[in-house]
Amino acid sequence: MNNNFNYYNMANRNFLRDELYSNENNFDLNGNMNNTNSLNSVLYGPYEGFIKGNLFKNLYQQYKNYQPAIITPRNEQEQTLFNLDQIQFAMHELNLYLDNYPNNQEVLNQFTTLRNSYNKLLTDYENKYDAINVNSMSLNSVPFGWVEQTWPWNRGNM
Amino acid sequence: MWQYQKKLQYPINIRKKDLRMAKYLVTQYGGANGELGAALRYLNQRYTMPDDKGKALLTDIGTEELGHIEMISTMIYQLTKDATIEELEAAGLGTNYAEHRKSLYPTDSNGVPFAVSYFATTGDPLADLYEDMAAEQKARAVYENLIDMTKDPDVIGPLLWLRQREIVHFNRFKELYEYYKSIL
Repeated sequence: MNNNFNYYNMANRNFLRDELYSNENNFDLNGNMNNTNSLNSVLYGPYEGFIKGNLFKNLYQQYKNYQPAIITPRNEQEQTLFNLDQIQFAMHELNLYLDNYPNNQEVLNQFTTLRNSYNKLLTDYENKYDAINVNSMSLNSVPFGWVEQTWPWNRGNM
Repeated sequence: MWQYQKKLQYPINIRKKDLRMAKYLVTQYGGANGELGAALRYLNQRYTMPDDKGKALLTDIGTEELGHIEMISTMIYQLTKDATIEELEAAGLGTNYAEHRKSLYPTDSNGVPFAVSYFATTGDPLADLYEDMAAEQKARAVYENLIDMTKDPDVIGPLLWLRQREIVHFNRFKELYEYYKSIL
């Protein structure tokens, strides 16, 4: 897997990195993942999880011989948005898991770590490039960026 | 309420016009197993779930499906945006152009418009969740059919990704189903 770790450095955070996840699979379907480091063995890292569309190793089902598409950002803006997509996706996956297992402290801790990274990446992206949310602090001058900046179906690539 | 995020959940960049594929793909917008039906089914069912876990899961998966409607719509738009009327007619999309020009319109692959009967809600949480599990499996199967019908990597990538989401959702619904079965 051709992982890209640049954004961890960019965000200057001691974040869980894809390579730290082992290949063991001891996932407990009752939602018990409370032994130390067990999350590392049941979850893909944000990059691999995102391109696969599935953060949970035990749930991933490959179709025939198809491999996930390798996404290649063409510039720094696309790379930053790609980083944001990965963290947001990992958060969303844990969100769905926590809906079923709301008392899992370890997953909540991981969710919190991801959220801290997400909030920083989002603010950086919106200040430097386009607003993702209409309540972004970056929308502070005319022409109103929400209207002017490219809409997602016309963005091309990202 | 909902707040729009001006980004796709997963990037889509289809560079090659393909009207044949657009005609098939539209079923994942407006067909019986499509994303529009999924989103509205879950968001409609959530009010009568027996506890907060069910309300949360159906809200969050229903919301994700709204994002998948946007992904499928983006794919159809990009596959068709550069087509001429003659090309649309040759691909069997002339009737669509007559009614809707190049606007997106939720139908299945046969042109049958979206129907509210796809909501399939009974108010019985076990029956509804079983329906949702079946819906995810059917959508997964349709994504596989669609993947089998194209060679364009720009189309296959997002279809593989959406297929995987059906698998995750199926399992989350299954967990909730088994939990309700044990307590109800």
